[in-house]
Amino acid sequence: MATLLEARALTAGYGGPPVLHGVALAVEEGGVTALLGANGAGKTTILRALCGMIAASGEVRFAGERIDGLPTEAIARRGIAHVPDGRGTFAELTVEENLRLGAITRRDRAAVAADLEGALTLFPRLRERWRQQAGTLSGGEQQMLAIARALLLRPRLLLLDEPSFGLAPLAVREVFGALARLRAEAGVAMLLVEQNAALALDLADRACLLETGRVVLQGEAAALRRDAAVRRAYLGR
Amino acid sequence: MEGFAHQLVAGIATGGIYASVALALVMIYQATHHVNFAQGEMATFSTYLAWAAVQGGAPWWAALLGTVFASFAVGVAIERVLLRPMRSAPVLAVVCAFIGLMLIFNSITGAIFGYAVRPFPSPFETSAPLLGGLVSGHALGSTAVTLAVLALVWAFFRHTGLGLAMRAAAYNPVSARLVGIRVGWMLALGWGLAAAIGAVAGVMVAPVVFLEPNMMLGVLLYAFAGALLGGIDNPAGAVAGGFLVGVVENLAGAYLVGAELKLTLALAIIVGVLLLRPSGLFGRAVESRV
Amino acid sequence: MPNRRSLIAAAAGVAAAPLSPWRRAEARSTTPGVTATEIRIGNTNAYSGPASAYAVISRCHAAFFRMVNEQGGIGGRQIVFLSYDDGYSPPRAVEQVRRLVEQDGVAFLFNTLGTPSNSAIVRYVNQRRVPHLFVASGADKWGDYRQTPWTIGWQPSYRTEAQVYAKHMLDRNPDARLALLYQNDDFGKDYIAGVRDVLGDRFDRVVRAASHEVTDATVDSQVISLQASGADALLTATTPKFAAQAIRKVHDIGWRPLHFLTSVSVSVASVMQPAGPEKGIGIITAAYNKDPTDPAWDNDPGMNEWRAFMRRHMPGADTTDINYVYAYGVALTLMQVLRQCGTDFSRQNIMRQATGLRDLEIPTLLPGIRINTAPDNYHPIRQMQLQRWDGTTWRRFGEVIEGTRV
Repeated sequence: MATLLEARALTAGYGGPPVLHGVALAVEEGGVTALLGANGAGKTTILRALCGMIAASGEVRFAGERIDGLPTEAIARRGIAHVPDGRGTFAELTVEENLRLGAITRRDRAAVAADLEGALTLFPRLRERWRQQAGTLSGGEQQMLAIARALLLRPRLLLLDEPSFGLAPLAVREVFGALARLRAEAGVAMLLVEQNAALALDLADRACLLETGRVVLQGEAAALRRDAAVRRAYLGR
Repeated sequence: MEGFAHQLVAGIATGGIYASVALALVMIYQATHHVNFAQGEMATFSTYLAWAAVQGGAPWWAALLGTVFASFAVGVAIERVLLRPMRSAPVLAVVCAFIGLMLIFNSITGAIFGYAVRPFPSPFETSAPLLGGLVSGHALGSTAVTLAVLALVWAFFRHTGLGLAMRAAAYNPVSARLVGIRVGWMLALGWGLAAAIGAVAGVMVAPVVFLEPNMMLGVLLYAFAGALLGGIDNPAGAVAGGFLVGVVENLAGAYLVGAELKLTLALAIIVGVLLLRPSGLFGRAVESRV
Repeated sequence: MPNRRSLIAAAAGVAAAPLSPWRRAEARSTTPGVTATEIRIGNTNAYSGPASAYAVISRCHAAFFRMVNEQGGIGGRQIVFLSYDDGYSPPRAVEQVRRLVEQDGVAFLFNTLGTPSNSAIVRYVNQRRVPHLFVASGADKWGDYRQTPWTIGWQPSYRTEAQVYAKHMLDRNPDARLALLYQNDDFGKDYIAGVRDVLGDRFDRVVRAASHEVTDATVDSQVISLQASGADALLTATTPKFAAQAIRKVHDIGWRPLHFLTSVSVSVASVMQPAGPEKGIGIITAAYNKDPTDPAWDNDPGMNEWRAFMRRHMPGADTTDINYVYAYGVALTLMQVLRQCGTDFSRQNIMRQATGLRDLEIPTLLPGIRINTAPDNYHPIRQMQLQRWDGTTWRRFGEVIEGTRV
């Protein structure tokens, strides 16, 4: 499988000392890579650095081309959709408007309409809430809205930051079910940051373990699932 | 009764003035989530550009069109050159910048064009006042123009992708970038459009109040009040608010509290409304679930 | 052995030591700002900003005093005229006047411009007992000889002007009902006071007043209300922009009152043209200076004297601008005061002479108007002549009218 996203020597911070120290990772075409680690390990920082939301150094290649140093909107236009922590929905706008914004840079109207149908089929709840203000949706619904919006970009790569955060178990099941379907049917590559390691490793085919800004373990998801240290620290067994 | 009709119509006419400036305020607010205190002075400067064009022999419509484009360019330039470096500055610093702009425009206008009061031509002038002296041709014409601009602004925000992108960029610039919106250019566009709308407002207002550098001083205050009353995130609401302020101000002054207190009464009403409905009469109440 | 005299002198010298050299000089001098060779005169004007059209007045004064110096000065002394820009801003006026009094050591202030600026400095100059002569403002309060005895106006005050209008109105129609549109500040309120002076108890019955703020967009609503009151006379006491609006609105609603207009807003370019020249026909205002564009003064000796001065000392200046006539007239008045001073240019005497002008004729004032001051009359000019707008220009008519004594 070809490598879609590749990061090398990624170092980044928020103004003070660096949070990431020379991180290297990769996502395959159509593959799902999970990013695991404790709070403060730097998982969210990686996603932000990849999207140009914070200052970073190092090399990042997307489909062979360098994207490090580009502004966030340019990176988005290349086909990387980021569902940030906190969901980043436009709370004052309606569900409809949020979804329209996902496709705002696209010119192919027919395909957008098809993608919209697809997203609403994936998350039927959103159809019911079509004219509602996004800020009045429940946590789970907002998460679905955020993912749906990201999908409307027709991204080649989806970055997800803690999609299970603050959600009731039922909602989590729905969301991850949708992600699995997405992966199976549409072949969208994903870089998935998740506290819930079990969920993540179920979905992913590759995984990285992050500790204080460094990658300490990398490999096939199945292998990490079996790893004793991982099991102890993150899977509670 | 005839006096009442006069007062009402005069109130609507004045309200139309406030409404047209309120539209520019709404545009800039929708695009940037800031209230541009310099909007009135920029509009005055634009009006002087139109005046200079007319003095130079240009037909009125050509002067207006040229001024609208020039104002658009000036608005974009201000955002890119002056405000971009202040992107992450605290709100108070930005407000100071706006006030500074207001003073600068006011002084430059006075320095270049002088402080004499000047008449400004209107394309809507009729030889005799209409409706038995009740309303002038210009009042009707400028109200029509205000409503037309309102329709354009409303359609822009509600039915175009660009309008939606602009609103998104103002509400949540981070997320807007994540969907690929060039937030910086959205801000510049918003400024340009607001300046252009301000130019139209100025050209509509000047025939009534006469052209002089302090022309918009009081108007901005009332326009702001009207925009808040109607809902500063709602173009139609802001326009309605502007008209309301004009009518209430006039009727209150003529029949309730006399000319001295009419401004006080109008502002008191506005404060009262905002206490009950903070987003304005027609504004969209923003709720969020925690 | 030091004698008593030299001891006292030494003690005085020691006591005087802490004072700055200038203060010492002042302490010794009874004529501050005046030496054997010069008289220093201080002035502020709006050289910049919205009121800068008035700066020509001070420029004219500078030229006038140059002329006086060329002719040998006054009282054997040359005039040093120091004029600073206050931009029509009261705080700056205070700053500049302090500078004039304390650093430049002027003898007195002359024709300082603007009601707000003068209001800001009046307390200071009266405390320091600096003559504040012939203030360039129409506010009535400069005639308050009790509170501010060192401050004296020159031009007819707005209150006087209103008295003149009220008198004329009663002459035409003793039962007239008056509508009064006024700017809600001291300027506008002076007109109310003047009308009240003439009408007395009848004021409330006869007058319906409507005010407006400087921040109002239009005065249309006020005009409509005033018409509805049934008044048959209207006095418009407001600044040019609003005056133009009022004239236009009065005409457009079909109201034809006996319309008086404040002399502040009579500019053809700024008021009558924008309003529409035909719409203002019949409007009455008052004047006290000869208008340089009035053909009646083409061969008038007084105006010829002024024209000669302008040609010689202000070549290229716009001789249709009545501000130059004003400036010349008030400068002549000052020269009379200085002549009356003789050799005593102490501040007390300057003030005494300024309040001792009897029937002074100034060649640029309308015939019949005389300047009179007294210790209890600080309004040098209290007469005006009415003029009427004919669609093209202002035409004088009738006799000179005097304001009432209050």
